[in-house]
Amino acid sequence: MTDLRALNDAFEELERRADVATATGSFDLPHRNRARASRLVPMALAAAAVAGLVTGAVLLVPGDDPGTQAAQPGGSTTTAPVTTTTATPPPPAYDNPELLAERFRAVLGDLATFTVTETGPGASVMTLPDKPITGTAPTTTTAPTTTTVPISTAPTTTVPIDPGSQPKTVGSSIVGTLTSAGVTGGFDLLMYPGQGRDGAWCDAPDEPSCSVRELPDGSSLATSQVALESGGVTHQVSLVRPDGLVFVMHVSNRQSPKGSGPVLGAQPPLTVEQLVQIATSDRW
Amino acid sequence: MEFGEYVVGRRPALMRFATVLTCQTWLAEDIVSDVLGRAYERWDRISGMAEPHAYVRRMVVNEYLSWRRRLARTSPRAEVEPDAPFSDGADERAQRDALIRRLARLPRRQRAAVVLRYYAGLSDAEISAELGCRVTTVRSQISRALATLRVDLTANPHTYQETR
Repeated sequence: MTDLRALNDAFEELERRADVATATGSFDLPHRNRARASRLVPMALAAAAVAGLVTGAVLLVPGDDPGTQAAQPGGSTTTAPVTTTTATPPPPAYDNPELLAERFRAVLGDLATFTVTETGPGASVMTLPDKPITGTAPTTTTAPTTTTVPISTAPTTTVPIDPGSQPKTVGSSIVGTLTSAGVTGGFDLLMYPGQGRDGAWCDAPDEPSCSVRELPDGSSLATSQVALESGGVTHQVSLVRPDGLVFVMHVSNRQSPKGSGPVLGAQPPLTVEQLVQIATSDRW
Repeated sequence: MEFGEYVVGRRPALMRFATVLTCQTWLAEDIVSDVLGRAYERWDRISGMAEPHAYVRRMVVNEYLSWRRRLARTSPRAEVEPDAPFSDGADERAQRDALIRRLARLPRRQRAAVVLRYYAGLSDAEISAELGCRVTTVRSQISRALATLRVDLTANPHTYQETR
């Protein structure tokens, strides 16, 4: 058995092989006179969507068990129950979007004003059925001798899923426009209680501006500045605190915090440094 | 954006995506070349879209899943092989390559669903739109694929998909 981290490793290895193939192969543009056209197209964070999300939007939480021990037939394994305790009298800022907005306002102080246009949860928790997957095949694999890729083989093991279940959500998010020092732009902010096993990340880790670092209190902080086509700029901060809390915020000079929609200003209303101050504020 | 710019800027990312999707660099090259050729023909329209790259990526998925390619290209070339023998006796590398082989043997739609979820980071609803099937189907495809891959999510019970 392996975990999702191994799947990511496999993806990364495939990427590496793709890069080798890309470096050796070339793509020739078809010969045809194209009508000259000048267009300005917002691309949003499409590059991030493809290239970056390996380490990005899906936050994987590894288990404690490294999974490397040999299987012990008959041995009993115990899985630690996942308990969440939310016993602190003042509810956390992520408790609901209204509270999140209220705390955000307090954190901002005089720095900026904002209006909220959309609210929602912070993240959906994807949980597979607790029934263990019953693949009993040995972990050693022999090299495949098949010469064709099976098109549709019935799976040997099936895991029942509950089609009716809605994904569980945690935390809160708010989206809107924010104005600071006369500059307006789109923002979004989300917060949820994670498990803190993975550090912070950038939406586009390949961007030169992506910086990931550890803070003295053990938090992991990632910042980036992504320039988009047709004059869109998005500043991003992501913070994962030692207690597992995840904080993500984007500001853009365009209406959508991810850099699309009407251009509202020359620059996003907050700098990356200001985002860091907001993320690390003790007023949350 | 001109087509040439797009190709220079995005072809590496498309190749990565297609290789993860197909597990075969030759097939990825083949598909990406075909798709870019067709995208070129329609570039006026595509470049006017909000997210041309997402559209081209979908073309890659469709091309991969298409019957035409399925019938024509199920050639006996093996899936990607490690380009170096297991040097250093690295168990990790062996395990990773074993996982890549299991990935390569998944039925195509299951693999597409897994790649769109865990590589491209799409939600169930987005994957269902991308693959043209119901959300419940997406979930069961992913669930079956993970079982075949022997990826155990019970060891790490929660994964978070952010809403923004």
